[in-house]
Amino acid sequence: MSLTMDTTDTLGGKERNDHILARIGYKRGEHRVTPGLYRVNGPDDKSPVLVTSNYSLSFDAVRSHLKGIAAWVLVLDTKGINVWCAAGKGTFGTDEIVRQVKGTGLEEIVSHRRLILPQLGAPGVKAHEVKERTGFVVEYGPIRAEDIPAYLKDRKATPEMRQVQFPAKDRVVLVPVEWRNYLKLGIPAGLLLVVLAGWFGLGVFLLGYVGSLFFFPLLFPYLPSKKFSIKGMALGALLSLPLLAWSWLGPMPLVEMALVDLAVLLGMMGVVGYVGLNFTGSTPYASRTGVKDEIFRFIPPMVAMSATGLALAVAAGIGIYAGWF
Amino acid sequence: MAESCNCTSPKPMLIGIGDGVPVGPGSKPGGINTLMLFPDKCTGCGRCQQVCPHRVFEVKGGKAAMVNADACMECGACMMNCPESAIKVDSGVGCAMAMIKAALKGSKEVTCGDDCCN
Repeated sequence: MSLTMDTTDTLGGKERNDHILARIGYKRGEHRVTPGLYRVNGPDDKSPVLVTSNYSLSFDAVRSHLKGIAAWVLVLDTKGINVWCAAGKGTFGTDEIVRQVKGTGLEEIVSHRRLILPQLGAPGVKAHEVKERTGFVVEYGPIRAEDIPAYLKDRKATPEMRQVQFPAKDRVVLVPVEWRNYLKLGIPAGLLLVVLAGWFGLGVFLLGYVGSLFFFPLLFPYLPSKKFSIKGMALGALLSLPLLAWSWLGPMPLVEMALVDLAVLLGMMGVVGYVGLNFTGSTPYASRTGVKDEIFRFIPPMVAMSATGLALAVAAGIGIYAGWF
Repeated sequence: MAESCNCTSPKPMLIGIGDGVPVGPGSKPGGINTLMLFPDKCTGCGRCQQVCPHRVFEVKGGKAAMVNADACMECGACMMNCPESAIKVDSGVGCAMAMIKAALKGSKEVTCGDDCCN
């Protein structure tokens, strides 16, 4: 029994801090727990074995949903990556399961021969091969950790438990990481906009960077089309409306206003369209074929829109200084 | 297909012998995804129905059928877990950020981890 580690079914302040840091993308690869076999609530040889990844958010999700349930948690070494992404990569996979089952001496610890895997681990695992190599039968449990208690009652997952969902709660937690991902581009662009266009430039930055990366995940299911790029372009157009209204209310001459408005509309559609396309990897919907198709089909028009928008903005700027309007 | 035939003679020699004719979006050029099911190899064990997060498969009359083929995100769970190798899909990560990054770097496709999303 020396190979097992103890853990609890409750999360404390330390875990909450770790989760906040993970959600803002601080040291993203370092939210890890030690791989191996964990005891939760004093399991015996008949207790179920639940398999998960060594990303702290995944491990904590599993154990915190084992309230009062005695279980073993087998943590695979997925290098701090969650179950779904690690399965796509193959690190949550057959070889690592075999390695951990053998390394922890699991067959000496439990008398049964069943492993419960999260359903989203399936893209990395050949269940029949795990059986051949370890003698353990793979059972695919529910997608979400919160359904584990219900699943453990009769070892059956309802069709609802087996269908991946992407509710508002799951979408909005991604926002801080989205902001962080575009920081290196967003901050210089924002500064440039403020220097060149003052308050209006700040407005463009707030809507185009802060706003788009917040509203795209939030409004994701409500934006038109199944194509991420079109969803993004639609949001870009929507977010440019306050800026257009602002320019209409101001004292700008008509020609300048037309240039500025067109620049804003095209620029926002191009840039936010790209934001939308890049959101594909954060969702449980995009296929590789679909994404490849979108890259070839929509990146050229997005680049054209952004470039035209930029050119029009430059023309408007030069026009103002040169006193054309 | 040849359901009405009760003959016991071996199947005629055709291209892809033993696999039968695939169904699904991937069996047609320009399909929305690359998912293909070979009904002749399927034994109806139901693993695909269990692992698919988009409920693409349903076992009907002892065989898997695609009831929602367009929802496939090519994760590859069904192919990996089919003990009869009756499913084929060109699986991969549907992430534009990773694909664009890989194209710009000229490297092979990157996935989530140290080298991407950072």
